[in-house]
Amino acid sequence: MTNDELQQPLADSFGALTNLRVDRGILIADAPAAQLPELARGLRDDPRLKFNYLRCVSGVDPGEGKLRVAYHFMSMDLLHQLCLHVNVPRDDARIPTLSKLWGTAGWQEREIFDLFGVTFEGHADLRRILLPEDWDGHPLLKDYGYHAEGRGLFTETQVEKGLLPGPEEEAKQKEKQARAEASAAGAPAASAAPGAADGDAQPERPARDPNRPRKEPRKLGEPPRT
Amino acid sequence: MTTATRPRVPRGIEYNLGFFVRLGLLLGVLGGIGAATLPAIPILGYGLLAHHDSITSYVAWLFGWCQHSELVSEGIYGCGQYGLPVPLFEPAVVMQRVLGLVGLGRPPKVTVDYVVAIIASLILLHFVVISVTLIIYILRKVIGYMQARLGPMRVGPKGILQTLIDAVKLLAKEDTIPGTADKVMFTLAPVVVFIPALLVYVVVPFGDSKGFIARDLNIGILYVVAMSSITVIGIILAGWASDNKYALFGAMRAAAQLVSYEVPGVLVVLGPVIMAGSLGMRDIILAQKGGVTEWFIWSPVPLVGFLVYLISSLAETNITPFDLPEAESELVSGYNVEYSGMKFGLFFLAEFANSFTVCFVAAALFLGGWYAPPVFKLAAGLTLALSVGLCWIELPFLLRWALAASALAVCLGMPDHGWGSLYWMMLKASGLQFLTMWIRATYPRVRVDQLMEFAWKGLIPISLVYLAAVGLWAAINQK
Amino acid sequence: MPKTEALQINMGPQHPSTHGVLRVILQVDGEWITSAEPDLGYLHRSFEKLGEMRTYINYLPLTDRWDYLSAMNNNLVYVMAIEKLLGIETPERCQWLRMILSELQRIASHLVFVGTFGLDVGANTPFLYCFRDREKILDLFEEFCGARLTYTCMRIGGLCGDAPDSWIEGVENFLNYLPPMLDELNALLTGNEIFIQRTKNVGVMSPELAISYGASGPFLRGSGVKFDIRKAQPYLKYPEVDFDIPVAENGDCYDRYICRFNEMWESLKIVRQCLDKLPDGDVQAKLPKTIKPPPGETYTCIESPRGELGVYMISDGTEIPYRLKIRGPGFVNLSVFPELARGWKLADVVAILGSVDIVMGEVDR
Repeated sequence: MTNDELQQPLADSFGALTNLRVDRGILIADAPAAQLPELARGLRDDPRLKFNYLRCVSGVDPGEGKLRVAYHFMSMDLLHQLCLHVNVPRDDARIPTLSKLWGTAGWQEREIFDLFGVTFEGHADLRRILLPEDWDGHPLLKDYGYHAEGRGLFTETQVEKGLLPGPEEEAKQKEKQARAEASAAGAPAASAAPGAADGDAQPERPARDPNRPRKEPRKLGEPPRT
Repeated sequence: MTTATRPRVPRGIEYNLGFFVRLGLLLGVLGGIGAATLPAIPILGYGLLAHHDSITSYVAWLFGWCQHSELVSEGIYGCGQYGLPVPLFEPAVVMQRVLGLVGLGRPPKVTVDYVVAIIASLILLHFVVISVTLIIYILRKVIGYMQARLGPMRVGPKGILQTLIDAVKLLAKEDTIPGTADKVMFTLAPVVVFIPALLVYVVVPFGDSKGFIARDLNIGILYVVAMSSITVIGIILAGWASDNKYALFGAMRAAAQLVSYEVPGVLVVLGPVIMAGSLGMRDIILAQKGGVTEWFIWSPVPLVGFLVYLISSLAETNITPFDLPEAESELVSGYNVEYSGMKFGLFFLAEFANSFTVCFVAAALFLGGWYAPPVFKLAAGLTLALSVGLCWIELPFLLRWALAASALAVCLGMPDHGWGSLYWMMLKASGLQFLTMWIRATYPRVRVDQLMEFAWKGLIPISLVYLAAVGLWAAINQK
Repeated sequence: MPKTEALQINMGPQHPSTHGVLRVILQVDGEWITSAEPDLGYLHRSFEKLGEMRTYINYLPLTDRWDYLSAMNNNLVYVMAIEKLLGIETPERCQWLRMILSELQRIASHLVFVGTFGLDVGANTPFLYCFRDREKILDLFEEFCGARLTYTCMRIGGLCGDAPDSWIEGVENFLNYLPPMLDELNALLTGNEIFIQRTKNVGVMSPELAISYGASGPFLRGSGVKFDIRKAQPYLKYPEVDFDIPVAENGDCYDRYICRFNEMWESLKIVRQCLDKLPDGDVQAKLPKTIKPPPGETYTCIESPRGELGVYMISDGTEIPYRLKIRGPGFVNLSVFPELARGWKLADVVAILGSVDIVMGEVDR
């Protein structure tokens, strides 16, 4: 079924889905966290929809005090797909698990717990999967500070050996940066990327000499210059 | 970036005291063996040319004890002809003079036996070490060529010195013993595995003369089987003493495998024994005189005995497809996972020595030993010539085919008595060894329970039927 | 009465058979496995976090390192996701060339699978034959884009360059070279009694279990589910090419091996048809000066040799992705492994793990 045809059965039987929209060819809907398992089971068992394949469970940190988990469903028989967005408040990020309906949700939810900190209620074995067990913090959150959080075994040793700045030095570096930014009044932020320049203790590269001629890149098939 | 100092990584061999001690030991041992046995070879050869019946009589003649007539009448020394022209010096006279100086005029028989035993064992040790060295090199080359690659090429011309350098490397390694391992058993295990592999060579007939077999025991084949069984104990010792789960697994698998495959091996070996009417190795070969049709591979029941023996001995010596105890991709080397250095080397020395022994025994029992009837000479000559000519593509065309033609000529011309019998025995054993290498390169590994199933439900019934058939035939023909 | 105890064995991160740094914690009762838990993360290189710190173009070389044995497909899915977000179409010649590269990469990846699967089961020789044949493909790739393993060949809106005529000839020669080699491999492995005994009826996976655990690719098709992204959600020019999808019934290791082996034959067919239909023209579409896709999200997936490789990309209007989630087929396929391995023997664990065909780069990302 195409996305337009899908909207009808979804609106009929699954009223809890709100904000249906199509983005780049995929139908997206918002779903409330509390009713997620029943919704998913309904989507799977409905003979018009038959969403039996849970492709991808992703975590997103959209900011604004919430966290989002995106579930991508597909029907292997009817060849249509649907994406559900489940938004939860950041300080109380709990979603009922889908691992009883789909086995694949087991590991993918563990990964989201590991990297985002969303707790999946009813999950049989919710522990970290990619990072070491003693890791602090959830790295894929946008405000994750690399050195302050996430100290596992190895970060401690590196601080001891002097290869990484410890927490006091980082606080000092942050202060210096804040002062530099405040003094450059009105200048736009260095880049839109969150956390792109934090914590890199690299020296400044010298500016490019305008008199030095630029070299043209070599084209395919040309012999190399000696 | 921080400029932390990098740790110093030793490149290549660390030349410290331990290395030189072990190198000295290796050179000393090799030199000792060489010095002891190299003169023995021409002396032995001369003695055999002089048609002595056994090493015993030759040594007796050497020491000048044969000349005493009462010993001849005792028949102990069994002297044959003596008095042939001595090439450079008279060893008999020299020995007599030397011993006379020391006060030993005519030592008792038991001393002669000891001297004979020492010389023979040194010769066998020499043979085993050199043949294993060559076999390992040839194995790597053959498997390499079968896998579309070259094998060892760097060390020495065409990689000939590879095994020697591997031995040096193993000796240079630190001899680690795991902390919680049982030290005595850990050290003893490779010895228990290696010594029986060496002991079996005592009864292996290298040729037709009595001088070609160290001791023609009249329980020859029984002795072979008994010695091969001791290897299991060594492997279990190795697995248990390593205090490592993987090693234990490997040892358990090995015990099950080796014990299971001994049964069909032994049963099938009884076929030639019944046909020959004796357990002695020479007698079994002598019973296959008279043409290719007399060989026990065809004679009562064609091919069954030989194939069952070959398969069960592949399993006995841990060769793929039965190399579970050392399965690399599963248990990371099985029972010898904790071993390093020369102890590890001894395990492999034992395995290759065993595999070569098995080829000799199979050639003796089933392929007519040293006999080479004209049909077989032609077949062997053609096979050798074609394989050299078609496969040895490293050499230029003319040289290759010249070698092939000369191989054919040698095979057709070589007699099957005297030194020729040594040639034929070695050829047959080497052919079987090549076959095992070929099988090794081709087949995947069998799983443990499938292995046991195959032994107990497949090979043992077949070997029982074979034995019954041979027994029936022998009873009917009253051989 | 003596009691037996379950033994805990660690098939550690360093092991000849775990296809990378994977740790499997096995609980063993004698030779029987009672539980097999993989422990991941040894190759976690935080690709998803890096995706939020690099521009779209800067991130492209990193995509090669996800599943390094089929890097063309990684490039492809990433580049397709950006093109979807930007809403641009690549020229015809580019799409056909992308198909050729992708299918050649599929053959190379399956050759590695066949070789290493044989090696796991104990056959040493097919491994070397497979790698010898794979070298021919890698030579072709080197001629095209200069690299043998991590190509960065597919660029946003096109390819890194056009294919010269000598390269097309090279591909044709390869298509003639490979079928006798595949027949030889067939004779060595597929028909081998011991190989069949080791892999038939081992690690059987029912279709329901496979779909529930999100299995995809030949791993899924070995259990009888005829689902292939190239036919279900076609991309590039797959609708215009005639090929079959190998499916097997039992769902054991042998069937998965057969599926992957037959896929190589199908890929040869596809490449031949692509060569016939290859048009002339440009290989690069017109792109804006900086790649700043309008805000939105998309999930793009392709059929990589291991299964469904997907990218869920969210753009916030800047030149750096807001979220780049990689749906690695190895990660999802491996989640079934504890179910499959239970109740088999230690030697079977290696065969089952080999038949999942994982590459730790995409499992751990």
